[in-house]
Amino acid sequence: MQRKVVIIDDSAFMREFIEETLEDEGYEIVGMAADGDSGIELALEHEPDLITLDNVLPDMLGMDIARILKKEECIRSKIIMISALGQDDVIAECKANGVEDYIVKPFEEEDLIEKVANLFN
Amino acid sequence: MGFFTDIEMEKAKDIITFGLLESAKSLEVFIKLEIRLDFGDDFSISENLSNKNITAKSDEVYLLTSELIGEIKGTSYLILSKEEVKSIMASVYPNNEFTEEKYIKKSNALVLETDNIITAGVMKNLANIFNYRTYGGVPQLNIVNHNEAVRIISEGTKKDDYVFFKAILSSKTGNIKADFIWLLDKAFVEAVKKVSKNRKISLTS
Repeated sequence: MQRKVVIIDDSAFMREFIEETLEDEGYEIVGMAADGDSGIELALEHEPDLITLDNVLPDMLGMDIARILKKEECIRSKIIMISALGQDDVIAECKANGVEDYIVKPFEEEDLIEKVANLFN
Repeated sequence: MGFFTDIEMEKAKDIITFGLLESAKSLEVFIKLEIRLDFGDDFSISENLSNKNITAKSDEVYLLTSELIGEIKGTSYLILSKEEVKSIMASVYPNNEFTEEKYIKKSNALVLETDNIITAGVMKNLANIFNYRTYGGVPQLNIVNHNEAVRIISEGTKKDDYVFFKAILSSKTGNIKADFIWLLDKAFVEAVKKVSKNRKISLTS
């Protein structure tokens, strides 16, 4: 069975890059959003196996989205944060909010594939 | 100079240089071109940014603006010419055969992501050294002629209580020579003063 993915990122470049990379690996992209509100809606609607989440969105921070989805809505999706923000305290806070893993940009396609695969192994 | 002693200025330059080197390294990885960090004749952190400090470009330019949010506030500007964007596109999408419409969409998305990635290099370093919560907002793109870009930056930099610095991110391949201009509020000055008192502070802390 194909694993379902929702991509939440304001960057069109990143949305397309993540979509193409994960589709090539057999994942099904069930929705993409460019802001936090629509992202939360999509995540609740699909409750996908995986959510890739940017940390700085036009309307809210990714770490707050993770908290809402994991701590308040209690969805079981795994969340991987993909962000240019690489401060240790930010990464720690994201993980405390329910983010399973964190990728700091820039990164290679293989890094994403490996991190995502590790989440399901 | 005024706002910094000589020692503080040296410390500030070290902090900024370290962040800019991170930005250059990230840019190199992202666009797959060898990038050099250049400060022109002199690297200074000053209270005024002169228009003559902005490298002239003949064509329309891509002006990318990012707001710095958090305990240190500020703005960064990245200026790329059409030719430079073409070089970056050719490097990132070596086999690109996009229609004109697709090319515009792709190149706009690519330069926005480029700005996001390189701005983070400086910000991450400021946040780590000062132990501040600070991050960049969503970058904005304006495609305008060079004079208009200079006007926008001049308007943006007409602020009291801000300091400015500029570096050039350059690449031999693709002839990239992009101005990367920053203004930071006086929270940066205060933070530098604080860390200058602590001789043991490490740039990688």
